[in-house]
Amino acid sequence: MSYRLKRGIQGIVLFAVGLVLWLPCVQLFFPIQLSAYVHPSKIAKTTESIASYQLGLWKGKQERSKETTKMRKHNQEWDFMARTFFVWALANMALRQPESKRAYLQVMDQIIQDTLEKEKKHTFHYFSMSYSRSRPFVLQPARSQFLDGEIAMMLAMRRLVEEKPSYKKPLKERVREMVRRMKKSPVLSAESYPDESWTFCNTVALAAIRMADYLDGSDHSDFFKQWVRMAKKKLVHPKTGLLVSTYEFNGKHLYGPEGSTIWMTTHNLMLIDLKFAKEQYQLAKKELARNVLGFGFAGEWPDSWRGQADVDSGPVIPFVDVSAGSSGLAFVAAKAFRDNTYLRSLLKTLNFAAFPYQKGGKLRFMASNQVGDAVMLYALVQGPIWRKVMQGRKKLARSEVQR
Amino acid sequence: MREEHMTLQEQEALEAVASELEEQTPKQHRSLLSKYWRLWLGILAVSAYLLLDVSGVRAYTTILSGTAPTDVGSQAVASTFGIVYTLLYFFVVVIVPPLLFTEAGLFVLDRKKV
Repeated sequence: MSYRLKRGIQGIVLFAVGLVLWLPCVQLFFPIQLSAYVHPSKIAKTTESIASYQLGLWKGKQERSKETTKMRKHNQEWDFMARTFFVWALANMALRQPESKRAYLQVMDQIIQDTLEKEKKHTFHYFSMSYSRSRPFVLQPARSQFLDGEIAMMLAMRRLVEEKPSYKKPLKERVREMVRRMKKSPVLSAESYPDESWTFCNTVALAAIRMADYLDGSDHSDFFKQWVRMAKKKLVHPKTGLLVSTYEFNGKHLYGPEGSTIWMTTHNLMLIDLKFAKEQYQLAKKELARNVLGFGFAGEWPDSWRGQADVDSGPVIPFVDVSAGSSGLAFVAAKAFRDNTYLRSLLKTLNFAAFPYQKGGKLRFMASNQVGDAVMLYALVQGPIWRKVMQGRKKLARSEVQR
Repeated sequence: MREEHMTLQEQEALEAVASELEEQTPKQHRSLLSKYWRLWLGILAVSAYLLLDVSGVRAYTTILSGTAPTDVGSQAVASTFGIVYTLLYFFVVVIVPPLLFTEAGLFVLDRKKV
């Protein structure tokens, strides 16, 4: 055997041994102290840095405009969702840190006002992808459940932190309109795009309606039960048991279960039917959660149903099946269901592969974008608002029993 | 040329000696660059990564979330930088340490032989 060949084989063997020894050690260089990100009642230190960056964006117009331009080039929805998730995060932060409530409410109102003005001036199409104009909506006049649900939730969360009388009527009207339109569909779901209803948007709407019930004393509990019964019967993917992500107005499935939808759906369902929400979370974890060498992430599709990569899922990295959209929203569900093991592994991946950049007490993730960071922030601070609404239901139930 | 006048037997004998020499000792004449190419590759990758990081290319990795990497200028150039930065980062974190391990292992084997 020639020296060169011998040395080549030795090199390959040594490299393989090195790789086997090194790969399990990589995670040790990205240690995660969960308490730096989540706190039972306050805002954890690292999470506060993420919030500082987001708050900075809404204080300075120039940088926000730069970030918004970058996002809108690919997806106008992201401009909208960066607003909604941040407002939802601020609402939770205001309950966690009452001494900063004034400042947070001010930013929340600024975002809500700006969003409502833009919606009024340019219609819902401004925050929708271009195919919202591709053909007529089934229900006329056209409205987007995507905007209605998330705006209603912004208004409701704002009022849950502190009542604002001028938001009472807009919330009531939006809730009434959402319920009216949902009831017109055989699957109790309104469209976000022409003849396209999303589980994500309709469950956000349900959660917002639940909050409005808490705030204004209305009662849609029969409607919620009806929706869950219908969903179990008509919106479940037979092979996985997970809720599908998209369907036509009449209920015909368009896309099967998707990570970028199901994680948020499970979170929303907590306010509607906790048992069903938990079941869906367990199934989603079984089908979509992945862990490679200590790094957690989420795939976009289960093995039994493969969809096409779209702008919601973000780029899906082949072979390992990492989806940015699904992994980001997996944080929301993992935190909501107190799945600390999965949350820790997701945070590890975030630090390993999302290129964190901290400067002047502000933290952002370079591989993400404004909406991704807002989702992350919401995931880490959520809890108080959901708890308030859920406890409210218990209190209400107790008083009914007493009566 | 002398070799042109070599007989076939002479040529075979010469090749055998050359091969034997090659097997017995590491090539002393080989330059350091080619001998320790794994080490140099590691150094090059780390240097290139640090250079891109200092230049602010990290911001272009937003391409991984499907976002336009820049609000002005060429998207294609910025995207390419973002992808190169990402690949270099993973190369440095995942591949370079086993490469250095290989180099160290080969060095030890060579020393033992000597």
